[in-house]
Amino acid sequence: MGSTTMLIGTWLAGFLTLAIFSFLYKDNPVYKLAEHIYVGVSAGYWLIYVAFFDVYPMLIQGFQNETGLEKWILLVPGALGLIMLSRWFPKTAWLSRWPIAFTVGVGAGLGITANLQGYVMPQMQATLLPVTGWNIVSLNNVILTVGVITTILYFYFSKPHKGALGWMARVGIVFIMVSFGASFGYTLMARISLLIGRLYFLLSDLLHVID
Amino acid sequence: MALEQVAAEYDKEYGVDYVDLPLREMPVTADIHSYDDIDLLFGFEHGAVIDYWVRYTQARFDQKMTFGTTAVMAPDAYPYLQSGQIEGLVGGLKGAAEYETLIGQPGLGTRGMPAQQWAHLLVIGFIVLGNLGYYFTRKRGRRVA
Repeated sequence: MGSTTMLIGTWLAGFLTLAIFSFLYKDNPVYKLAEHIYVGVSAGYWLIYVAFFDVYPMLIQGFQNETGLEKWILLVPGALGLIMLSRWFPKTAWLSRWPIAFTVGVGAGLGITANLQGYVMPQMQATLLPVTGWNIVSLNNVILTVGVITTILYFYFSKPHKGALGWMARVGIVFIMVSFGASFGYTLMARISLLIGRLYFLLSDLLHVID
Repeated sequence: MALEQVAAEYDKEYGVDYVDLPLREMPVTADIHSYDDIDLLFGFEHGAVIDYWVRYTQARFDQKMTFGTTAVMAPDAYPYLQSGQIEGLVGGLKGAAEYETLIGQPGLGTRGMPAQQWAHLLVIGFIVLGNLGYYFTRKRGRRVA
């Protein structure tokens, strides 16, 4: 039973993989079918995930098992969640601003301190590097420091980019382009990796041509 | 908030795994009560979750952590490595191949590198060709004008 399910799953995955690849030729109904299945499965997966791993254990089971304040406080997120659904009805859509405001408030409250503590300050600290001495570490530190300063100056728009500021902004562009290049290279690697993964699946799991 | 919950008896909120097995009964999580009990946290991430881990967990609880990310996410994660906020980073297929080489166990990552290499060389070739085409088209356009 297990192996039959595996076999059907493998052939189905193989069909869907080829269906997606068929877009390389041109848009077609088989591709559309695979695309719609993908979107539907993703939406269904997340619906089930949120319902069974968040809402049910935390809200419904929590309400059943907790006592006192910890039980009744769960009515607040429950009510806010239901109010969010008021967006479906134009007359009551304004009510949904309350849970959105709550979510944004929580996000901002957590995010501001977390970003300062966990991103801005450590990254600033990591940029304040010694640039003395004639060795490769100092050279690396100089490049990093110059890169950070000139890149920030590129985004300084309160003065026209002329003279020394213009020159430094142009250096900043070079660093930005190198950064974009690195991101592009890694993105390319990711896409090629996905392609390798799919081809490996087709040749190995489906056709058993390679090990 | 979920990440902060781990700081204090996380199993109160997340007591079971996805098939309802109690985490307290699993050897791997039996003695873990909070971040204090985790020597090194390794995360396999495909999205921006690494930002949350670093900003909420590493920064607040001084948790040592290291990540395996998709290649798309790796450039965003490298600043954390450079600043010492994370201990290590396995970025994309290249990172997987490097790790496999490091531990002396070549696997799918290493096997994928030749294909990856040729694909990159092909794209570099296309970029050079495209730029040459752009250069000569512009030159011809200037001559015609």
